[in-house]
Amino acid sequence: MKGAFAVFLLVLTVLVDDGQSPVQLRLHGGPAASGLVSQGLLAALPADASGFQAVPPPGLRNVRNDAQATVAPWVDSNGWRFQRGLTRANYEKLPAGASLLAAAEAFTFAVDAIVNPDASDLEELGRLLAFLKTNSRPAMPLVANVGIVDDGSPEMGEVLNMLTRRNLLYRVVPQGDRSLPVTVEVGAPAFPREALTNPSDFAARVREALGDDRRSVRVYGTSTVIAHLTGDDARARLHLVSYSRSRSEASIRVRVLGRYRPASVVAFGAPDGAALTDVRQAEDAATEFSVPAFNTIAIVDLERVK
Amino acid sequence: MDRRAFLASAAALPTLAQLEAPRTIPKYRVATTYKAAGPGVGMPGAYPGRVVTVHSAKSIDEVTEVVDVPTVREMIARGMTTLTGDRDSRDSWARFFNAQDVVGIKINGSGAPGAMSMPDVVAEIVRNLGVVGVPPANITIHERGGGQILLAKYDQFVPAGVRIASVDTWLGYDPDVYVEANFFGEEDTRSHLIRMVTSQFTKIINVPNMKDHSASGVTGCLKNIAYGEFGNVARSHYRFQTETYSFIGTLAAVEPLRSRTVLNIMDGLRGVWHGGPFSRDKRYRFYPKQMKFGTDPVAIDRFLIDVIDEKRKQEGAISVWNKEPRYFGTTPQWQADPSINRFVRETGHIEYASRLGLGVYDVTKISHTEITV
Repeated sequence: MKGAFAVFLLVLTVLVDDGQSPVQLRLHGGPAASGLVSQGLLAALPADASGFQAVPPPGLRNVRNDAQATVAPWVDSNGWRFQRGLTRANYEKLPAGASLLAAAEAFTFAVDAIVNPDASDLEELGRLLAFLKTNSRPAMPLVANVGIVDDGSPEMGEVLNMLTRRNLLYRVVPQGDRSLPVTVEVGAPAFPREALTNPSDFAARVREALGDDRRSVRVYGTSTVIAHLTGDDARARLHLVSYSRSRSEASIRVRVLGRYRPASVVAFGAPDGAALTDVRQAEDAATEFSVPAFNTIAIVDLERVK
Repeated sequence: MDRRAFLASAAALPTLAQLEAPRTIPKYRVATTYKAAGPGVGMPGAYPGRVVTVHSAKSIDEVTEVVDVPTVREMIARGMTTLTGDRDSRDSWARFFNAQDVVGIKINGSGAPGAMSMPDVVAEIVRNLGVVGVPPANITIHERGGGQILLAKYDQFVPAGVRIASVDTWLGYDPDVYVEANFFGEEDTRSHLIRMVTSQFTKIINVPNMKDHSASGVTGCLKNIAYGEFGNVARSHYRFQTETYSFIGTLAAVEPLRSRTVLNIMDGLRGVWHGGPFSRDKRYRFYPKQMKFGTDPVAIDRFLIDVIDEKRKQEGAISVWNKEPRYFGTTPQWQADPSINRFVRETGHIEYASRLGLGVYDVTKISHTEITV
């Protein structure tokens, strides 16, 4: 019993309310992170890790296109894999700096993960894990604007990747589900199969079908932040994860569809007392606010205005 | 052709059909809580359709690039008095500024230190503001980009107390003033005005540098005040296409930027005739040895076209109006050859801005006075 209690303390606990019983999610530390395990910031490696699927390190690449004024940032996020149903991720090999992002995205998308940090990350990763532990809350239902009927193909995977990178909020739905404003089913007139050959163009079709005004979240002032929104009738919680090379973001502007009162913001790397600023209720029933500068992850809690 | 279809078809180089296709103006949404200050205030201001050009052969040494400060002082005094019709330049400056004003000097640092609004010119503007009572603490030399303004070292030329600032160091962007448009499917569709303009400045002096620009044809008053005061503007460039044609004027017309930009002084002591807006290759620098004065940015920029095009002609380069497909190439080709375009040059952005009421484009309707000192 005493041992079981100790194990309980070692896990970073995230409670997920999936409509049934709460589930404990864990971030497990690989051999390099034994110190963080002993501090109770990571769980020990599971006895059987075979159920954990290897995922690539998250990060950012800069892609230079000919005759373009600036380089285009290419976000490498595993968010789409998690949205597709992967619930156990193994970040097998993480270059320096990537473990914080791995922990942040696993936390944001509420998946179990094994994190093998580079030794140079350990100190900062420890601070981030403590931050995540302090700010973990029972999860709420995912907010999405687009339903995707996933055929499981690599091409559709790349479409999901593009949708994630562009903050077009979606969830995978069964065939025939029309509960969201837009349903994407390959083969429908608006989404012909041949369009899958160009995932970027396909994602643009989805955006066009939805329309920017109907999007639950817009992020301005950055092209390296991925937003993840959950909520219910009374509240919403917005995770913002920075994939910029330094993982830092200057003040960014966010628009959330619906009338909300900001309840709190916690931003890793921000000074104590950092707050949302310039909160506005837009005429089109949206709430806008500026998020303080942060590193890696910021979490905004909103209360719906009745 | 809608934007998605355009993007799908856009290759690295344009076809004649694409270049000759009817131009569509993007759908812009302007958000601002500010109203125009009234007729005669801001752009085109108190002197629409009037331009004064002051030349001086001794204004800058072409070898050392050292500026002759007394000559610049005289050029500015003559330019201002000729613009306003006053005998004493103090009266000219007093028409625009008083001790209560908080003045932003919008310099151009793109290309510093090889190309920029010369510190000696900016220092003389600051001195004149002091003469009419504007204290140093009420003056801010600014640029959007933080790195560029530091390269120019303005702090070494102006009195203590004058602030040198960029959006990175002071106040950031105004969340309530922006232009929204989706040009090429970019995710961030807003360009916000810097907050210095909305919350601090009562007046702005626009001090562009005389330069060629690969996308907008030339870069003068309009581009400096538009792309230099708003964020997220590089999104208007995609492959060979840009939306500078309509975006520059649209941004410049946004309040309160339009009403607060009361004076334009174009620094043409040193310029760039190809490869702009930067000056990575010294062989494309030239020395027009002139300054242009006015309140009308369109009228001044109209003559800038002639200065740049004339120089390009002298050098055997294609005109800033040339859009023939055979002259398009890659960025390295454009850098190496002044007769290569990397974007469709939108020199017409100046005429477009005139249609937004920002000034007079027709040279037959512009009063242009040229002086040599």
